[in-house]
Amino acid sequence: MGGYIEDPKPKRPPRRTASGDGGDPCDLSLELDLVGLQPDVSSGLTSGAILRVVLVSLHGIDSVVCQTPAGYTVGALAAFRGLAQLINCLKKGVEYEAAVALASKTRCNVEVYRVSP
Amino acid sequence: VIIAGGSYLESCKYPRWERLFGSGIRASLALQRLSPSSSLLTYAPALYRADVEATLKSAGLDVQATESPNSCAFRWLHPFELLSWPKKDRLPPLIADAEAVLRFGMMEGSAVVSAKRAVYDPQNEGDGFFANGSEASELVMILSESELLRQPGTVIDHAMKREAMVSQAVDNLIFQYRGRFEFFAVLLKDKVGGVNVYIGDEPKPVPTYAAESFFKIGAGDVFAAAFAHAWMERGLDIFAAADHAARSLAWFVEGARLPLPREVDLPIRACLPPPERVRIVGAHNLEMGQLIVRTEDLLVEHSIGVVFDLIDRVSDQADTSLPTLILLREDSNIAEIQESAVSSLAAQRTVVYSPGTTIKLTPRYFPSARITDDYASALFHLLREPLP
Repeated sequence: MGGYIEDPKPKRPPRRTASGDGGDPCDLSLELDLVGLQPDVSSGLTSGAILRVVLVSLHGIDSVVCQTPAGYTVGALAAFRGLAQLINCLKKGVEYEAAVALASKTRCNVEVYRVSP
Repeated sequence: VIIAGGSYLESCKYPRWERLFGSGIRASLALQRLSPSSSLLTYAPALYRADVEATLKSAGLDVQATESPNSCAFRWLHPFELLSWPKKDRLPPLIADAEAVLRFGMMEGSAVVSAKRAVYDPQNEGDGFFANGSEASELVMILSESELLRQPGTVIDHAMKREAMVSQAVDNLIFQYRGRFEFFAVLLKDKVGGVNVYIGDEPKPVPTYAAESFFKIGAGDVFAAAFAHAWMERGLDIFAAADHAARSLAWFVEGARLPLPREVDLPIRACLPPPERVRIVGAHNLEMGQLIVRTEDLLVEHSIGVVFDLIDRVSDQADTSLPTLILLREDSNIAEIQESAVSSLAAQRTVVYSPGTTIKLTPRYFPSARITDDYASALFHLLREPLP
């Protein structure tokens, strides 16, 4: 499975402080593949597309998903260091976006970064 | 199913990969849809225990994480070369008491199993299933060849051919275990998705299924999880369960996709058995020399004959009809790509490993070849040709 490092990255705001270097703990940025990919949605995305990062709370379960501007869920953010912190920050009202680096019906690789406040 | 397995940081340079998985988390997420009531028993250091719990809980799964003192990380250069791994520890064991348990070997300690049916993937544990007091009525062990050769009572005789040594080790394992269970079987994995089932002495191969790419890290975890679900929860016989696991593996390796889908959505296109001989054509430099040596080791492990040619020095006697793997460099020039294309014109089929920016140039010179910038996928395609 190639393409992790060679694909061009979409334009996005400059990165703020990376997680864990003593700055604001909500200044998170990460790059990863989505879990629980929705292939029909993912296959319609192109590199550079911007997704919303949304906290979904259902029956006491918090999960973080990436959604298209039209509200379709592409997949979930999970299995990385910083997930618990990301959930806490979203609960505090911090907003993030995910820029699509690579998308197909089998993969969606995104770069997540803080946008506000 | 209770899943007992590790939660580890994983990183890989080629392809780039930095995640929090380990066998426990990966197997749990693999079964998120198929077995939503399964739960994970794991060790997790304070540093990322909250992330382990958040990952499992966000998938709606139950997790009991016992805190461990040290962070555990595995680092790969590429999926066939593990650069570093955590030290083993002896923390108090986890207790897995249920009808059905999937137990993975762990670095911090082990899981004591009490189950009717159990699946055991020992990974780095070399003590065997019973050493920590585990018991089950029926057991299936899933191992790689190197894990098999680490099992207690295995005699390593370097004078023997690897095939004979493996066969003897399987016999030994079956002899040790069979009398202690109502049912015992071994699933022996190779490094490119192949599996043999041993109930008695004779192996029965499980079909390998086609995939567009081969993401190897964690593939064994997913195979074990899928097999455990099919055999312990759905009650399929061992061959049907192994076949389901092989199809699940093919689904996973194409994009490291989790969770696993329903049976009807799994791949069904099987592959031919691996070729007996292959040809490798590579550039003449140090970087490529190392890759060729590693490739040869891996193919020899699979009892596959290898013929080598350098791109600019193809022997007159070379059997150019063999399935061929072209190894290009990140900075291969057009002349090198052209020469390698000419040298493989007679090949039954050609796979091209073309890393870096070279991949943009490659397709025009290899119109009918399979081209990839991922080394593990290149090997997979060389050895696993889909049935027409």
